[in-house]
Amino acid sequence: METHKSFQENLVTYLMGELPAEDTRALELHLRSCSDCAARLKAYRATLEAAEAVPDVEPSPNYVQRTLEAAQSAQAAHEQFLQNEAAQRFAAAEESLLAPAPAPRQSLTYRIARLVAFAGAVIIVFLATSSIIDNEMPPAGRGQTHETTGPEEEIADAEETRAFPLVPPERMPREVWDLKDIPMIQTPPLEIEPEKELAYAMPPFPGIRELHVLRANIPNPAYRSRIDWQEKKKAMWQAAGGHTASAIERRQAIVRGLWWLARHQDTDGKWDAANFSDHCPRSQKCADSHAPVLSNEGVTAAALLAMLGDGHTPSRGKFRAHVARGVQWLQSRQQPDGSIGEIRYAGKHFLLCHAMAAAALAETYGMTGEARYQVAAQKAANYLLRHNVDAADAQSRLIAANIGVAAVRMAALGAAEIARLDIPRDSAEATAMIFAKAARSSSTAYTYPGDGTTRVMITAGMLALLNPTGKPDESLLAGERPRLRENPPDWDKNGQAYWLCGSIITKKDGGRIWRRWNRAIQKAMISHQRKSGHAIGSWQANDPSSRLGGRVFSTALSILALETPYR
Amino acid sequence: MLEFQQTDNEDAFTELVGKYQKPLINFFYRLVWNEQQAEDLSQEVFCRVFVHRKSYKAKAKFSTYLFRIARNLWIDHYRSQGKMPRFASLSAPAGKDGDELIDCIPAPQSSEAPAVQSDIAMMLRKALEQLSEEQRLTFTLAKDQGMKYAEIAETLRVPVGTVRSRMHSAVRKLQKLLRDQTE
Repeated sequence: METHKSFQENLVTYLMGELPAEDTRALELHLRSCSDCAARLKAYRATLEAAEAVPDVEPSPNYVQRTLEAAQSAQAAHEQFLQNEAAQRFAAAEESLLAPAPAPRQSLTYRIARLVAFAGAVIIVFLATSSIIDNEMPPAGRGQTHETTGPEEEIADAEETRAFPLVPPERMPREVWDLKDIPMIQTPPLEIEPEKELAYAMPPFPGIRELHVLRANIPNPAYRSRIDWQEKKKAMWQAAGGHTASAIERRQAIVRGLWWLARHQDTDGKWDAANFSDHCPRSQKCADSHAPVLSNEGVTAAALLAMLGDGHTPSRGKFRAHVARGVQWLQSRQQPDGSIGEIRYAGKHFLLCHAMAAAALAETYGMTGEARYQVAAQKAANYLLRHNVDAADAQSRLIAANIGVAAVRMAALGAAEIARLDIPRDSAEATAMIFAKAARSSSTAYTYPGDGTTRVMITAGMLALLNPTGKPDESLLAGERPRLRENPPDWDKNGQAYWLCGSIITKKDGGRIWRRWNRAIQKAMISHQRKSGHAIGSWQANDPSSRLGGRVFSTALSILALETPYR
Repeated sequence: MLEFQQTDNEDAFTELVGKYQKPLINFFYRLVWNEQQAEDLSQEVFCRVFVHRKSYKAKAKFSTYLFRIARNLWIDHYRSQGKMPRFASLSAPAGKDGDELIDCIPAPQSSEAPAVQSDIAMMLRKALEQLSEEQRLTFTLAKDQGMKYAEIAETLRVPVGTVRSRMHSAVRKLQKLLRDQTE
């Protein structure tokens, strides 16, 4: 005898056409008299119909061919694995054959006596260690490693130099580092060269992980701290002064920033400096109060540098599709002479935009080691080398814009050198020195006419003085460092461009100045990152240099400044 | 499959891929809601079929065999990613103003992301993510792949009665979640 409840439990099976004929008849009879079951049936039917609202997706073009290639590669990897395993088994067998015969079996009494002696030794060692720890620990606050009295300065330094790590890495929330708290991003299929398709298609799953790793190998150790999340975490942790919570906060700010960038990229790969808000819902436009003057090439390069800085390349990382598209677009904008973009669009900021694009291409090549980026990156660097700032030019046009451009140019050449592109060292160093002498010889070297602030250009100028090998011209920098100390990052007083340049310089200096600078940046930035709406993750530009490229540019600069510890 | 197993003929394999690519991609798509990842996962299934073709025994239907591999891969993937925080976090507040992460999912830029094109699809997606792992698998196989309960039971290696009860629980929960969202 079926009950009301059992009829209810049959409703879904009935709707799915899986109920036996006899039960179906009984249920249909019951439905005529039971309004509750009839109502449930109606609701379940509506639910199942609603499930059809999710439309099917179509396989991407060449799916079958790509799958065949992936399968063949997986087969090769599997065979290699079997061969290795067989070789290992053989070696183990050989070793056991060559090993000496096992010792004769000992008596039970002897083995028990040995076990008891071992346990006794362990207990003695444990007790001794405990008493040592108890004696060494201060009576209160066992975790404290610094004195709580003394000058404030010393306490701050003691905090900074506290033994690292304070909290073991495994206690850090993984999702913060792995971007797992961010939903996967829908990306249109890319047009990729056939030989690279497999690498894109390869997910990091057991069985073909070896292949994935092989393809994602990073040839240049200079980028290890970006790629290796343990290294990245350690660097960020140290930069955050050992305070785990602030390191997490910083990481979240970076992730949200990158995500904002990802959501505002055009399908062709570029970031549109002026029209990026086309990607925003009508009611939640990520508005900008200033019209950008930098070209799309420059802004795209800045956004790419922010993504590359966090270890995302065209073939690895959560944002690999975005980086791949962006780099592809930059390459498509390269002119035969190596320049990226067109002067008629970028105007006087053309060289600045080109230098940023050159840096992005150089980093892409450096991080992937792929030949297809090498040509574009080398051509872009060559263009920079050809358009040198010679002594006469620097003397005659010693305005701040040139200092800023020269700074970015030097940074781009530095990136090219790190990426192992062919950069004549004497040329880059000579440029830096010529520029440095020119800057020193003029009393107006670090001023920015009509702007009111000189700090951005002070730091930009200082950055220009640092040659690509990272050795600053001490005679020039010594007089400028106090200015950086006196003007730490402050949202109301200075802006992102200044912070980024200052970060690069103070990081090279290291020590207390770097840690203080870094903490000040964190304080200034994290509280001013947008935390809600569609603009979540972005930063508004807050100085004239950052305003040049609008919100995309200011967000990219902010991310780059936050990434400095591991970039 | 048998032809491919016996002859190692690549054409037979590509024919197999051509036949099952869409069901498999859509199966994963309804679990991960990401086309690229769905393709990657489906490709991995075909790779496993290719590599382990000799171990296939023609006792069950090939589709059952295929979806069993898919199910195992999904479980591996699920476990390798912990508890898949993005499912839970889609409805978690992302900002102080109560914005949810799901509100920040990029809008579809082309026809490649059709699932988010309608409110119903989005509601359904949110609701499906609330189901348990086994309920989602059962529901997806039954509703989207059109599998019979017996086939699902064989794929998931559970009794038919379990499939029935999982399906019943899944639909009941979905109905409740959808009703809550529309109210």
